[in-house]
Amino acid sequence: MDTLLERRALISAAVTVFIVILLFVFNLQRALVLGAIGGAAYGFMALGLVLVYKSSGVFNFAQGEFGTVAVFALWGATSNDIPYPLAILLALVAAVVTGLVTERIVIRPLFDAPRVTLLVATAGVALLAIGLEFWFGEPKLRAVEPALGRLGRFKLFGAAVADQEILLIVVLLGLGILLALFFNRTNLGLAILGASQEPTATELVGISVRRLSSFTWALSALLGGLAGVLAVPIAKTFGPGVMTSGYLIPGFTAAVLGGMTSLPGAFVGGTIVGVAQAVAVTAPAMEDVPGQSALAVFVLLLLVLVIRPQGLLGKSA
Amino acid sequence: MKRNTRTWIMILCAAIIVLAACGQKSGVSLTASGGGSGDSGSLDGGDEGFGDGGGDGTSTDGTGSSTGGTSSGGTTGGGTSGGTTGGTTRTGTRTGTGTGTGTGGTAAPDRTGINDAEKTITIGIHAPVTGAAPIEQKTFEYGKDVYWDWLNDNGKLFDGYRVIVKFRDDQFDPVTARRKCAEMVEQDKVFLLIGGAGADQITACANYANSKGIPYLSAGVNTEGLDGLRTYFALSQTYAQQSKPLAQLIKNQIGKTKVGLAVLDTKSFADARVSAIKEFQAAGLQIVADKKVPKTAGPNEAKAVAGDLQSAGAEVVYALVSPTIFLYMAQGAASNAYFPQYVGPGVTNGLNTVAKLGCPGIGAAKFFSPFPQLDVIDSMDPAYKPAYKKYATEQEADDIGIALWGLNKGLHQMFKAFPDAKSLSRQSFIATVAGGQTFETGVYPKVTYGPTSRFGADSVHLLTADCQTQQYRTTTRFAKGF
Repeated sequence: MDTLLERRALISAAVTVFIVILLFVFNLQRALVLGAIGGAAYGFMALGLVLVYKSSGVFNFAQGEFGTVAVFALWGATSNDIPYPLAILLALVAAVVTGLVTERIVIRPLFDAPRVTLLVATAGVALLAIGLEFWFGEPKLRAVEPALGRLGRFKLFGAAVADQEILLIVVLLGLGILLALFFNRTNLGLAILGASQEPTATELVGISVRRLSSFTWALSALLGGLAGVLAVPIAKTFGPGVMTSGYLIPGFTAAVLGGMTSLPGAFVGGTIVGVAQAVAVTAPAMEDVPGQSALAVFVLLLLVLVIRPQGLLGKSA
Repeated sequence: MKRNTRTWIMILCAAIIVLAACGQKSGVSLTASGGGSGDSGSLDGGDEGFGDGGGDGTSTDGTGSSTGGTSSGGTTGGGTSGGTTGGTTRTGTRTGTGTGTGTGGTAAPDRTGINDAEKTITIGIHAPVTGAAPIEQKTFEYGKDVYWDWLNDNGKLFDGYRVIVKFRDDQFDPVTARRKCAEMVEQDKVFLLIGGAGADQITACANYANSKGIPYLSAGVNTEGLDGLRTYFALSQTYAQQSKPLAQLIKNQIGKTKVGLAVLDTKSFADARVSAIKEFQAAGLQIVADKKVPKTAGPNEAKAVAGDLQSAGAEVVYALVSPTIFLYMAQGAASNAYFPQYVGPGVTNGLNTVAKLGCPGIGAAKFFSPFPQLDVIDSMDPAYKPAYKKYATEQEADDIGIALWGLNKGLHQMFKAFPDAKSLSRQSFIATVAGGQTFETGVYPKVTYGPTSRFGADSVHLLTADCQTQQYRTTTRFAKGF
């Protein structure tokens, strides 16, 4: 166990050092900062995806919409002069309620269905949510202000970092650590892991797998909501489906890169995806490549899947 | 990870890579390149003697079998140039040379969309109200009929014809745009088409319209992909035409010399980018960065582009990107404490929505526009605001309404060139509009087209963002230079 952990930590450190050296060699260190900031939002998305996958084996295509619902709720609350902290709270509640409703109405009835059916069902939830946002929210752009408005708190490798970006990274790191402790050190966390591996045996020892499922989806929705309310205000502008269109695919990529079952992997994967995007857009060599940022991310993903299918920090089957 | 899971992921990734690798919305290359089509010959040569044989040598089905020479000359002359037997590939750019022989013919005037019994003329408008660069749908719905409703109560069209406007959302996607235009042509039987916004979508639809011999109007966007289309008319200057006055603006009014370019990575904008570089250099400006921005760029990529412009020391940023990406870029720049002077050609970055959402990051951004802003419309066209209030169900007038008002007013000026509705057909419309008359609306710039010239606007409006009011102000009207 310890050897395995050490090996994974070594891989993670080696990959990080290699990437950093490459960026410095090619004078792209600014992309490191931009990528780490952008990647934090993907990391959040990946954490939520990993959580659901870890507990139920489902690829949750609705994860982005938990975030979008939260952003709409934040916008609605702040537009009605509700204080920002309370608005964030309301937004997160909206996300969690959406997660619980999804679990109760869509996931639970399909609990014993093949995983592919559940995957399609979550995609259906995402499309329905986007449709409702268009219907009730009108297809137009809106603006939502960040919780912390100060820009350019400090400069790192030529990239200025805003307070909201620092907040995003700090919250992500904190939650990552808390979740790791939760899954490794608490009975509830171990029960969730047990339910994902042996649901029948878990039921036999008196743990309600269905109740665990509700908890997991609520937690996952909370992470999606946090991603929305922390990341979207950095760009300020949003529209219907903003988290699905802008963050879901990079989030999936981050989760797979990190190893699908690894919470630290989600964080590492998010950072790598963010850096890959930033490098693709800023590197002079990539300038004439059409769709360079998306291309870079998916080439990276394919390489990892071919060379190390379990992801950087995941366990092999 | 289970094998099945990996298989699913691989399939998903492969699909996305194919899309991403295209680098632009699918279908643009098919619809934008090659220009003319071979099957339009038979629609030409109506009663105004504008038969020009077949298309320009690019078959839309890729078979390269355009056969000109069959178009009719009508009453005042035969087809003048014959058809085409060359230029047969999808990717070729108008390489065909006319070798056919135009023969006078008997094609009837195409009056599709004109109902003399009910005295109506049906036209179609498409614009993106969903997708990556949405424009508010309600404003389109409110604004599309206002001019024609007002006209019906104030002077009438011909002897009482009503214009019915059909609208379709093209979803900021050229393939969808082409499909929606085809729907309006085949199902709604529109007389002509108007492109509301979106260069790729306009290019796609204009090419489709040209292939069917249907008149197509839009505000000026790109030249590439539209140049040479016989049925297309730009109601304002193209992006490339705006490069010279932009260079003058930067040099003579803004007074800065280091310029960075941020241009959307789409084929449609290639000519604008080349002309901007040429004109800026000719004006003695220094181009310190030339960034191609992915069409699907999100906040992170846009911020990275802004960072590159900042690193290069760009004092002025020439932005030719969609409003969403411009907003991401300006916000990303602001978060780096970078506030350059943004400039760019019109159309959509000068909308008040951009000022409302983008301030303070966009600063005093200056964009050209084919239409003026709300601050001066009363003095330029006093009828607009009262008409909007009356016919748009008590809505407050907005700038998209001005854009639609100006487009429809321009079309009305073209209709006025006909003595009566009976003389109006698709062929006669194209021939008359291209006949050298000047059309003036007082909202859009004056336009004059020739037999081969479809980009006849003579000026632009300059709009400047005012972050106090979060609106654009009209700084200069009908400017020809700075």
